[in-house]
Amino acid sequence: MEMIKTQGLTRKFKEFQALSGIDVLIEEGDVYGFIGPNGAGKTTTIRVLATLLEPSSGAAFIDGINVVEEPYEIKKRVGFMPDSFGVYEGMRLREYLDFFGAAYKIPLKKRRAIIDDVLTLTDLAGKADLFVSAFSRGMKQRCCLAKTLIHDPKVLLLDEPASGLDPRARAEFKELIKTLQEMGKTILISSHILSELGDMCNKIGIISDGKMLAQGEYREILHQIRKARDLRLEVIEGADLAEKALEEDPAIEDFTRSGDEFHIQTNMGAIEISGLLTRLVESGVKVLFLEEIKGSLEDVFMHVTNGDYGN
Amino acid sequence: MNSRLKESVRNALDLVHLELGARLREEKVTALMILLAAGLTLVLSFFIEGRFMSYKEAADVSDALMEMTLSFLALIMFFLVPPLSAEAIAGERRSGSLDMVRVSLITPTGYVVKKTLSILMVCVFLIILCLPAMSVGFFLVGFQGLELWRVPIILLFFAGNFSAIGLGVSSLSKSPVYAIIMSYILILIIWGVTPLLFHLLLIGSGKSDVATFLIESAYFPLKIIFTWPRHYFSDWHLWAAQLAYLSMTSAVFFFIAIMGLRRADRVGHGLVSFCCTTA
Repeated sequence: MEMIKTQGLTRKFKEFQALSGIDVLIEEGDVYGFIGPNGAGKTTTIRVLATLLEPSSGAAFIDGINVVEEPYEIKKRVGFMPDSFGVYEGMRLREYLDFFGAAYKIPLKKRRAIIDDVLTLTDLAGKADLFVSAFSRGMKQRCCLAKTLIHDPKVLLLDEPASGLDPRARAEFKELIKTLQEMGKTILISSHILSELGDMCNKIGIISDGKMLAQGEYREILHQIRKARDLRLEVIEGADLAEKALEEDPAIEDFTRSGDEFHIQTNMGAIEISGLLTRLVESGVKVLFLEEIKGSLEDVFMHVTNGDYGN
Repeated sequence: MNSRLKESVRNALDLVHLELGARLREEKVTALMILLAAGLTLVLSFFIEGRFMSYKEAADVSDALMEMTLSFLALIMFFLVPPLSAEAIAGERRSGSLDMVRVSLITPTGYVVKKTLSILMVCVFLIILCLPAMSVGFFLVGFQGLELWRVPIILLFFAGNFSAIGLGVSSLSKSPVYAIIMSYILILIIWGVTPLLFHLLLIGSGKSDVATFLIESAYFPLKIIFTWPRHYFSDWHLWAAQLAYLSMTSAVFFFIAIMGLRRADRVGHGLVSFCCTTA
């Protein structure tokens, strides 16, 4: 089921065209990584989806509801975590969540139990009586996420959620996202720090200068970009023999040698790669390892933004 | 339907209560509260020392006591309410928490009402703090010719007016500092215009003393705060007219605040900055 959909979304700020016909399609339960350089249009798109900004043209739908026409219904379904957020100076964590619980019109009787659940989920249960202004950056992020979850939204729009976090807090945040995905939430996460998103998202959208350059399953895009498989071979003995074997193999498209290490490009499948290893060993090469180099989100991003994708 | 309405009211009251709690914990509010308490102690100590006993009439004593208490209260409100309200929306916009409120189910009107009520509750708290000082004068000498109940009402209307101006400007500004400066400028303009208006209304009515006072006030609006304007409370026409004027101007600024929130994505501080510089 389509949970988030935009059609030809545009937004202009005076002379600046922030979005130029953005089409996004996110299915229910997806974790969608929205990546792009600073100023690409990620935040603008998210703000349109969160009803904070009206598009200049085009349409946006969440759970089949038009964002511009029925913002109240959208607000019930969406949890929005902005990239920069403030906390109320004089409020304790429980009061802060109580405040937003009341703001989302959660009945008082249910509110206490919901707050307890959200605090447990975000691992803040022991901090309920502390002032939010005294929290560290990581705790403030979790506090904001707790606030975002208070009305149990179907869709989470997280704008740069892990920026400024230390590695430990970042790892904890990733775990939290996985838990939320298991709970069936549809999550859109924007970031320009690609290592954050690589192992969190099943789909990605790459945006630059207000245009969507590529979108879809992460693995699919990676496969399309990397037309050949990249292998790395390192030998202990018989590097010359290995070089000769690779030269003679018609399935090897290209390779480079650096001492006892080879970087190979091939269209072979998994079985053929296994056969290559057998042939190398049979020809007297002592192989230390042969592995496939997995593509990273950085590779995808660099390919797409260089204009390689789709050409 | 009835239970839904009850639940909505309960939620709204919870919002005001939580916001008020947060406000009362703010350092500047606490500091002004302490200042007020110190001022009131001073007033009472003057009274206990018998400083007012040189006055010939009991009414003069009560007036002097009331003047000191209320002038001090009005002064505290003057320095507390405009910054609180001017900072309310612009401050939240700057910190980023405004967006989180805007994506919740609170309407712009509800948001402005919540902010106003929480600020007014702080003022009610201040007035309650002043009650002991006022009661001493009242019980010992009484207030002759004065309807005491009019005092807190007009003070709350003044506070409401400050709040409305502050929130209106705040909703149009990205910078809390600009919003505070602009609020004070607008308050001075509006409070300067008010006495002039009353002067025009009162010309020929025979109340020359009131008219003189109001003309003076027109040139020096702050005098309203620093001087005990007995006329507001003893002449009910003047009192009611002042309330009407305050209500009218407050309504305009509340409307601006609501519209500003509705169009919050288009707000810049250019206009406010320009007005401040020009002023």
